[in-house]
Amino acid sequence: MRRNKHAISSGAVMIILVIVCIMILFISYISDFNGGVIGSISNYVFVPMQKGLSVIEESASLERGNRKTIKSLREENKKLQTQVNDLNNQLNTVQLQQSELEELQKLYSLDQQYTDYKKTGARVIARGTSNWFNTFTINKGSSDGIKPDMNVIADGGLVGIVTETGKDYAIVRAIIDDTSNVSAISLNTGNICIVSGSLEDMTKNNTLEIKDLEDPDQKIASGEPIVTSNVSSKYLPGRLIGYVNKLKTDPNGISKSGSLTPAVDFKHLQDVLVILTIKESAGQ
Amino acid sequence: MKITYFIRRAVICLLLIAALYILQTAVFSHLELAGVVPNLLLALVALTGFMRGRKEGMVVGMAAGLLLDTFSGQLFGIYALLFLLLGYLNGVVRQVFFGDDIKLPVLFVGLTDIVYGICVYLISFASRGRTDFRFFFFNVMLPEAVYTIVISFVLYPLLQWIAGRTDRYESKGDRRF
Repeated sequence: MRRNKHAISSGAVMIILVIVCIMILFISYISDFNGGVIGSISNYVFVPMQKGLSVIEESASLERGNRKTIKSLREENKKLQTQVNDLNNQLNTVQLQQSELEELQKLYSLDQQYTDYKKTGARVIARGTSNWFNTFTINKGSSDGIKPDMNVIADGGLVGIVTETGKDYAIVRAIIDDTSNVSAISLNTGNICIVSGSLEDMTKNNTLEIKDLEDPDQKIASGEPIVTSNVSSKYLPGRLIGYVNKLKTDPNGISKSGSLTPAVDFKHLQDVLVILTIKESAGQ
Repeated sequence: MKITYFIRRAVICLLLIAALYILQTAVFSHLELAGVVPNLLLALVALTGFMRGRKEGMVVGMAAGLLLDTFSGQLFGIYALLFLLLGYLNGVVRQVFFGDDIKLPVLFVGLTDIVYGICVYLISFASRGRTDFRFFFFNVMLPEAVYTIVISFVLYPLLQWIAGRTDRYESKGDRRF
């Protein structure tokens, strides 16, 4: 096929490259190797370009926003006004409860540390490396103090967890990813369950899976908020994941499973907050 | 002469991988159709294998795979291995079918994408008890393959044009095949 005398046969090349790949796989399996040189090259080649493109995209979406008519803005204003009133009312009751809670917490000498963690804002600059997994890249990395296992939130809900960091970028695995599992608790009734991402449920109904929910008193109804639990090894407690959608009793008759509507709109995710506290260090 | 030709080809391949990666993750990720993003890097690997043969298909596949590995957060090296083998397979296909017709390579891009989908399904979904193959086939693999095929109708002539330009410098002296 080729006239080159020194050409090595393709079969040999394939075997060599396959062996190299398997070695890389093995090394990354036993250690935390994640690219090394390629990661640092990408940091200077791809991240700046992706950042640039996300700025263009932002200005495009601003432009779209400007085109909203006055009429629709007025309507929205009216709606928001009523919402503000509602929320004010709710706030008053919550404040009462809060002061009560504070007194009780003082009695129990509990720290309130899970209410105010240090956070940093970040922007989603790349996604879609695969249609199978829900991971994305954000524009902040180890140089901004981001480390693996930090929690990522947006719109008041849990988005995911940092899995890898480069100098100026970090990779986040969303809770809707098929491999994601979060141990969670129902906010009002305190029942523990597992929330798992599911590509199938996400594609069909925009929901996540709830598993192993123990609800002997049948107290949980749809709409119940589900938050991250204390027992989770990586997720900080008390972060809103979403609301119960449907539940049904498992064949074993004890636990329940069902679906959960996430609090975050993952389709239009642009800006996220990274909590700069890692669960292990938050425990003390 | 040979060395400069080789370096030029390598640089062009790297630039193509970089450009398609940026396109896929920062542009096409906002142009989802039926919930999927086209797999541009896979199209590049398959077309390179088809146009240039097994060796180049493998090398480009491994390079593109390593890049995906860096940014995917999965076990590092899995895409490199998968793309390397897919590049090789398309190189084999080239020896069996060869023609100027655009439909053939583009069809193989689609087939490669399906094979890739089945591999990903087996490695990371079926192994965790996600047994609904029909669902994943019709909602992830097939839409992705169709979208990638559509993009390949533009990508293939572009790659041919680029290959034509790089080979022209070489045509006075030693031709590759």
